[in-house]
Amino acid sequence: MKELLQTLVQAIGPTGHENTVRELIKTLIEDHVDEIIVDALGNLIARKGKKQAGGLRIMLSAHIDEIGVIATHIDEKGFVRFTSLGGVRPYTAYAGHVRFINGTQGVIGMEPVDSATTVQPLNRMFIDVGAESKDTCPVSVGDFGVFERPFIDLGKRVVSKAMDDRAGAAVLVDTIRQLKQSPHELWFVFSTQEEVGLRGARTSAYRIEPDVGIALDVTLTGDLPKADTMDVALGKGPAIKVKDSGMISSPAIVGWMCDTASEFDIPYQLEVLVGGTTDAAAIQINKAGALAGCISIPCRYVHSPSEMVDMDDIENAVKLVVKLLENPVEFTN
Amino acid sequence: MNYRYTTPEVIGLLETLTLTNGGSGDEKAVRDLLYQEIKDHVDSIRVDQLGNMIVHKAATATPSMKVMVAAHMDEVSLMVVDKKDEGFLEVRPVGGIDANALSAKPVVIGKDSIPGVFSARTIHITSASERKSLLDYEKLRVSVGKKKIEKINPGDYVYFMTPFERLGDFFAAKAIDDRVGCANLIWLLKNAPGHIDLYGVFTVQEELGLRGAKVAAYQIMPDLGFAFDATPAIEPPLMDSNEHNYAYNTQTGRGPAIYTVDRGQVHNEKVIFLIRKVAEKHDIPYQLRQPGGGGTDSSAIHMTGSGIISQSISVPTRYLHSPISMMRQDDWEHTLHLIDTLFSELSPEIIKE
Repeated sequence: MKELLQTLVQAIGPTGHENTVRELIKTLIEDHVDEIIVDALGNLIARKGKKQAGGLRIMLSAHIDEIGVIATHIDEKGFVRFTSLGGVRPYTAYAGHVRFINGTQGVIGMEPVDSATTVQPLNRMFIDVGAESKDTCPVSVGDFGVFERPFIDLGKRVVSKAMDDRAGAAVLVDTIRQLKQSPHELWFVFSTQEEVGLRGARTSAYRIEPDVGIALDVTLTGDLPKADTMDVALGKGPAIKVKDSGMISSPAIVGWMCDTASEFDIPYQLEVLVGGTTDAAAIQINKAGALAGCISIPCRYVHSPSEMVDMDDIENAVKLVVKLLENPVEFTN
Repeated sequence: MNYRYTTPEVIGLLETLTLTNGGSGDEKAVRDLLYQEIKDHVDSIRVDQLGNMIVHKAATATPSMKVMVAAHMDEVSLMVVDKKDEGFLEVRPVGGIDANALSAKPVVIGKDSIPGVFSARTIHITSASERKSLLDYEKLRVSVGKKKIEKINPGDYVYFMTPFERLGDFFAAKAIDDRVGCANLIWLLKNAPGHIDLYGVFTVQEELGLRGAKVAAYQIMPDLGFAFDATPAIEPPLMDSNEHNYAYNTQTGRGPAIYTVDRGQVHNEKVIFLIRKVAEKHDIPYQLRQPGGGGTDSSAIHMTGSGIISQSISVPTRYLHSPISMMRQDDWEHTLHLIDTLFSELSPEIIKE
């Protein structure tokens, strides 16, 4: 699993240009699913099984885009001005390493600041790709890039860019491979453009029209020094989402997830996230609506190039999803 | 240069369109004008519940592809919210307008086009500090006189009274956003290649959140979508005085603006690549609009149903969303040239995986 996760997080997939990640996942799952669709927004949509008696149509979504940068202007000296794709904070951007899709690497600099504790906004920063003039700059306006940083293996815990949400994608890939049978019609969506507004999930939910939607994504934790209060910690199991700022999980789904985890002795925690949301929010209000919930991987330093997760949480998330999907379930209102 | 597309007739249509008033929700006059202009050239026309005019020009060749092109009819305008004593009106914008652009501008109000003028500070009696403060809608009034005010009601639209003029290489007018897109769509409907099953949609309420395009795209469910629009060109000396401000969005004189990433959409790289290829083949100048905020009907189209590839092609224009905006004729000419050559080369290949 660690190897799978490392492969996924190190692939480049800024919002809107997820094709490298999509092709990678396609090769990992194509022998284990019945049908694969790539839609207009670039979502990788894989179906496994057909709805049987007592079965439901279930959509599971993990987004494959990551936050990044896009070039807006190349100045005369060859410096690249840029804006963000998704939520990039200036203090995690400065002095960061960037890799553009065309392979060009660079480092982020900024205009002078008055004090050592302040940082310029992104529009006062620039990417230095080592070019000496506009003409020799290998980057053009509209080029997409991501933040780069090596994968660190700390044992049980690992650190990388793009854990948000390749950790969720890894859970789904492993689930697809481990799941032997299910009464449900399962639609695994590796969605695009989540970071700019759940766009891929919205159009794929429209296509699938699921009875139940589940997102696999990362969530924040409250286990850091002086952290805001939040009862989610690394290593205490996958977090079953109760509420975030875009969705109130369907109570039936929360109950189903908690009961299943308890039944199979899988550790879990309950999540109430104050800011942020997931693909499940888009699925829940698709067309005439669906039951929806989310299983989150606790993650520290989200939206920085050094996101940390605990491998136990990921393994337990796979266990939980497999158990949820193996058996029939009936929801009563 | 020799203008093949922006002929006197096409310019005349733009002039009439910009002189016609049509704020968001009040697009009827513009729609009626466009209807007369296109009715003899197409297969069917209908108006939906929001007021979108959906014009169908059926394909005459196979294989064909169903393409929707949106151009919005509405312009930024204002609305009367309250009548004050002494013949003054309090107004609010319908769509985004900087209050500082309004001082002392002539307007017309309501169905009877009653003339009025925005209030202004008088330099003789204002203090230096007062002159430095920004205007806002609480401070501005439109004066119409005590008699005429009786015929005006809250809810009446307020439009800029701006002539259409040629200023050297530029046209100056109100509502170039997006009457130039409407004129471009009219041109395309009259000249569409046979393999395009074309749905031209003159949309409503774009300025309030792409509302018309959203429901129109749902009705049509095209294979491919486009928005024809105008986009800001922010040029010196109005750019931020900081020499490192590179946020110009687009520049006039550099050709049509091809959208890449905006607030509502990441545009499809295959379509952008095709447009660049076509432009380079035909020697048409073009520019990639700087990635950033803003958005067009294209983003509403692309989120429709299970997702639709859609692209925005816009004409760079100065002073958008003010009483007067300016567009270069060569930018407009190149935009139509690009539309012409691009649509000839569109094929279903573009929407394949």
